[in-house]
Amino acid sequence: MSSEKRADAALRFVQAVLSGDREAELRFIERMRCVPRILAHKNGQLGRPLSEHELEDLTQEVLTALWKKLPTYNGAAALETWAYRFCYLELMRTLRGKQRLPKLVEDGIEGSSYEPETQGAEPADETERVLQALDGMESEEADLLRLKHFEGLTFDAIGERLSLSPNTVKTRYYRGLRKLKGLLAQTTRHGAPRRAE
Amino acid sequence: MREENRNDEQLRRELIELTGDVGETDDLLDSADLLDDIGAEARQVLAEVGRMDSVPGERAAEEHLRRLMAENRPPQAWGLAPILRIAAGLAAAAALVLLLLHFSGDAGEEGGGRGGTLGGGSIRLLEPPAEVGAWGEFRWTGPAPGSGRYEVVVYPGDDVTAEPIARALNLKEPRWEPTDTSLWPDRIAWEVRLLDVNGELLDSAEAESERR
Repeated sequence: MSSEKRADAALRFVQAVLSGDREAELRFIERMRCVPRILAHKNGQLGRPLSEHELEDLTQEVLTALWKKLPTYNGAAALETWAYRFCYLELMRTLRGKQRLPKLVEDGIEGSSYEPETQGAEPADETERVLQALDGMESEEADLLRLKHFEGLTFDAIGERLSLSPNTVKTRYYRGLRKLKGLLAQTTRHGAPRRAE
Repeated sequence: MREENRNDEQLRRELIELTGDVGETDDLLDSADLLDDIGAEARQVLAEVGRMDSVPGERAAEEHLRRLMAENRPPQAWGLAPILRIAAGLAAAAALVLLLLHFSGDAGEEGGGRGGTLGGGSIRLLEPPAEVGAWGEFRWTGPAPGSGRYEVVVYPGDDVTAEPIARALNLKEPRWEPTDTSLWPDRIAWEVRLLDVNGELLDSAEAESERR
């Protein structure tokens, strides 16, 4: 299946879910098993700062947010990649609320051990800053960056998916990259950006 | 991983050409590397999650989702009674016919538009043309935005990656008159965007224009 057709199929699938198609709903429930699993996996990576019960509550919060936002899903990224962003940001928000953010090693969260965060510390997670910055960008540019780096697509494949020429994709990609850099520079100066609704 | 984009010579060359600045290019490549790291992490987690057996709380999560889907269908989810769905379908078909009639009329009157388009290609850029004597009104044709809006963004030169020199938001009509163009360069690129009520991009078109 071509990239463009795959995006159309993803969008049609979500529309079927939203319109109450029974078969699509069952498939959606099956695919959303990734949510408790992603959260359990990330919680494990971070040294299990959340208990099983807390993780269960968080899973339900993420699923509620996902369901509420599902009509805005545009099919550009895979549904699971889209869900991953919700899981990551909600997990970090919850950990910050409980003041249980781990101290992160410079190269990322792998290998870090859980230590309770000190009172009032600023969020230090680079991934969270980038995901939030992408949420703060125009959806077209953010989609391009996600497709290139999160889905690993080439400029040609992105163009096919979005019905754009590869040159237009490149120009918009560079523009997006520039804006992301600006937003990240702002968050470095002023702390984390406002969480996207 | 971190060095991947920095070592991508083609990407580097293109960025230097675009920015004209080696320092800025390196900064952009750093951002690209950061995105690569996060993307790789996400793909790795999703691959591992795909191989996982069920986790504690998975059944409760499924139950929760079933309840949500049964009780809280999002408003855009067309959770309408069948008769209303049919009515909505008929209204959409009628709107499409009107739209087509509208465009066929425009094409005749305006002699067609120009500019690259994104999405449905329903926006035609009319003014300013490729060459003008002075900057004046911006005009285009396209679907009525309804509860959505048009935006116009003007970039210096032909560089749509540069910071815009002017931007008009929340336009309900397919025209815009900039208030002060005295500092505008002789060459601009401009983009018209059609957004829905939620700010989602429905369509866009770009063109360049030069003042002689």
